[in-house]
Parts: sequence; structure tokens; C-alpha cells
Amino acid sequence: MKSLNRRNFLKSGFAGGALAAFLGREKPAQAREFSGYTNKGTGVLVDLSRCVGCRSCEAACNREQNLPEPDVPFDDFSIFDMERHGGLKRRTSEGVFTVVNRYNPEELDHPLFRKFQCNHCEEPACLTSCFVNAYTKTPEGAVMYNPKVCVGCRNCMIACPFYVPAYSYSKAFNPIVEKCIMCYPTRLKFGKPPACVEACPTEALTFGSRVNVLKFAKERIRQHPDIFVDHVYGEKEVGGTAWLYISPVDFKKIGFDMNLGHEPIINYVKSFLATVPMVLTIWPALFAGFYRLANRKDGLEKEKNEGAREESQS
Amino acid sequence: MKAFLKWFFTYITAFFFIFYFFQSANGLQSTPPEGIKVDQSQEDAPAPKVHIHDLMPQMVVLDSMANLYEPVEFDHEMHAVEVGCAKCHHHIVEHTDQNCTIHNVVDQTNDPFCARCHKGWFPGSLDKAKCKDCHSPDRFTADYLNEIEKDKDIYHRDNIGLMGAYHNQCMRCHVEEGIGGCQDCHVRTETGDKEFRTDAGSSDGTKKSSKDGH
Repeated sequence: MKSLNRRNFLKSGFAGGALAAFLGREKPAQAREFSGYTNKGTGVLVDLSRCVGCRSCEAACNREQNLPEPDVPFDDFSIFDMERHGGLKRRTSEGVFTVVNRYNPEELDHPLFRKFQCNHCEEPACLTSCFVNAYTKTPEGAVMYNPKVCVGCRNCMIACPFYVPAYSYSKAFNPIVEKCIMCYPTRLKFGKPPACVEACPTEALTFGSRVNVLKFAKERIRQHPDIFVDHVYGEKEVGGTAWLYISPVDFKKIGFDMNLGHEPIINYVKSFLATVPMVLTIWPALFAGFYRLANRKDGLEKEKNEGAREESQS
Repeated sequence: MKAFLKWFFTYITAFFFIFYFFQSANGLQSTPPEGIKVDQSQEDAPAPKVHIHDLMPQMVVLDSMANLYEPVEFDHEMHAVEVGCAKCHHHIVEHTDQNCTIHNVVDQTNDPFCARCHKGWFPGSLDKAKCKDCHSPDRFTADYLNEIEKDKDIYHRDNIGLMGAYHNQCMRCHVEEGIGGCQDCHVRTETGDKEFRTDAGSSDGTKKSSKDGH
């Protein structure tokens, strides 16, 4: 067996370091090219110009997901005037997986309604932030949550760029994260559209493969440039989402976050996180080695001195 | 008073059409029976005109959501008289061509691009006159979606479903007339009340139900 001398040790150390640096640089470059695995997945196109704010989708969601009794009936439209702290609109919560909010943009002579639920990202931030893999993205496009393995850290709630996952704080025992699951176990799995899509009377929600509904969105914008703003929200935002939106007014004015960028959320931390295992595994060995080599001479001298002292004593 | 006038008008027109129908039926009966020689000048006479109003349905019952809402009786006749055919049946334009056999009300589209496929559809043939002939009642079933995926020749791939077509078409006018609420047309059933949780909020309110989970 070849003995490990100083030269060989340094050689392999530098080679390993160079390799680690190379791999570390390569990974985020791959991630940047990611444009979504769209071909298999389904999606829903929300045409905001068609929504009349009837709240049928909310009612259907409540029935399909066996959600608790709402604060007001679903045919009570006074809820559109309701505001949370700071004048914010309603949002999803543990008992409400989808909400419809009303906006009054000044360009339009009528109010505009916006349905809001989990957008089922192509590269979900909740999924990538979960360290026990409680989240899965099914081939059909739904982002699912498994409460059995969840430890309740709520990283997903912080990671989600749309503030969708909610926590069942009302439960004293075994609280879980609750969000829209696109009706996957009861409907999507069997080739049926989500309950809200089926309930929508004006077909403001168009269900189909994501590739197709994206084409529909662009075609509708092309055919009616007078109606729509030339942007499909969710086509590229945070790496693409299964739910897409087209709107007659600027998305900024109806509560959409336009500062999310086109990168999946994980890309912002991927390059840093890739260096963590390298630092944790290579650095201790490398520097311990350097330390031992630097002190080798001292050790040898010490041994020699001790040997000499022993000899003189005897 | 306005409603009364509307109904009065409808009944009068309905009566007129029934009267007209009997008259034209009598006219058909008066053609000579078989075996009797008809002279040339009579054979060349134009075919008897059929009024489109005699061919169309008077009432259409819409009951696809019968579990949540009572069936709606759509007064097709009244709407046809009041707003005309082309308002809802696309690919047609109203015209006044006196030689049209289906009486001078409607003609197929004059857009050459549309006419490549839609020529002779309606009113030439009444096969494609129904809404559901083009607007599927099962728009989002897997079968329908797969069919669209398979057949790349379909031009109208983003064809709105039946329920969406009705609502988008009808509500345009109904909202303007101030009758755009769901229950102005649809009477909700007991199941419908349950779906919309009409009993919600009526309890003492101490129950923590769908509180903000953030």
C-alpha cells in the first residue's frame, strides 16, 4: 500500500477542492435553465374578465373538501367589503382554501373579481423548503401535503411566495397545514376537474393540460387586445405555476405580486446550500490534515527529545 | 306594468304565429293531390316559404344544474322576438333577402373564413342550431380533453362549454337590465341551500369555524 506522504496528500486535497468548486458552480447554472415539466401536468386558466363574483367556487370547495361552516353564507356578498388589518383583502385560511375578492380598478366601470387559491407551482417553494418531504408534486400537477410526516415547523408557510398554506391553530392537538390540493384525491386522480372549475357558471376557470390552457390564454389575449393586458400571470412567475391568470387591468392593481421574478424560489438559496455539505465534509478533513502536517516536525522532535531524556535517565 | 306589457306582447305574437302556421298549413293542403296534372307555370312557382319562427322551439328547459337549482324555463320564442336571432346564434347575419326559402330572417355568416366550415349550417340546416351542438355540456371531462388533444385539426380548441356559453351570453344583457343576480333566473333547491351554507353564521357566533389560520 502506498503510504500517504505530504505531496500526495496536498495533491488530492487541491484536486478535491477544485472538483467541489466546479460542481458548486455547475449546479445553479442547471437550475436556471429549468422551465417547468409542463407536458404531463394539468392547469387551470383563470379569466378574470369572465368572473362575476358569484362565489359558487367557494361553496363547491367547501362541500368537496368537507370544510367547516363559513362565517357567512356563500350567497352573502357583503363579504367583499370585509377587510383584514391594514385594509388587506381576504386570504386563504385553515377552513377556506379559495377566496374571491372584489377590486374596483378605475379603468373599468364595473368591479373586477379575483379568485385566489394555491397556484400549484411547477417548482413549489413549500415542497423544497420542507425537510421531511411532506409535500409532493403529482404528475397531474397538484401539490399535495401529507400531514402524517409533517413536524409542524411551518417553513412552507414562510417559503410560499403567495402566502397560501395555513396552519390549523384552532386545533389543540395535532394541528396541520391546510391548503388547496386541487381536489387530487377525489377528482383530479380520476380525470375530473377540480370542484371549483365544475361549479363556475361563466367558465372563468378553464381546466386542461397546462400547455393547452397556456395556449388558450395567449390566443385570447391575441384575439382581444382591447380587453386583456398582454401578460399571462403564472407562465413564468416563480418558475411557472399550474394556475394561470389573464386580466383586463394591470395585475399590480388587483393584488398580484409582480416582484416575484421568474426564478423558482429554491434557486435563490441553491448555490449557498450546495456549499454547505462541501464545507461540512471537506474542510474538517483538509484543515485537520494541514494542522497535523504543520505539527509533525514538532511531534517528531518531541518524541526524539523524550527518547533522549529516557536514555539519559536510564 | 312593464312586465305585463311584455307578457301581453308575447301572447299576441304567439297567437299571431299560431294563426300564421294554420294559414300556411292550409296553403300546403290546397296543392293538387297526386295523379292530377299540374301545368308548368305552377311547378316553377317558388317553394312555399317557411317562417323560421315555426321551426324553432318555443320553450327550452335548462336543467343541467337541477340538483342545486330548479329547472329554468327559457322562453326562446320571446327572446327571439325581442332581441333577434343573431344576438345569440353566431355565424348568421340578419338579412331581408326575399328569395330565401326559410323566411327572410337570417342568413349564414358573410365572413369568408368562417364560411369555409360553417357554410350551410344554420339556418340552411337546423342540425347545428342547438347551443350544445358546439358547446359541450361536458367541457372538462377527460374524454373531451383527450379528444381535443388527439385531433390537431380542430380550429376552435378553446370552445367554451354549454353552461359558460349560456351565462356569458345571457348575462351581458341581464346585468344591463338589472336582473343579473343568480336567483333572478334560478330558484335554488334545498340541496342548493346546503351547498351555499345559507344557515352559516346564524348560530351564536362563538364557534371558531374558519378563522384566519395565519
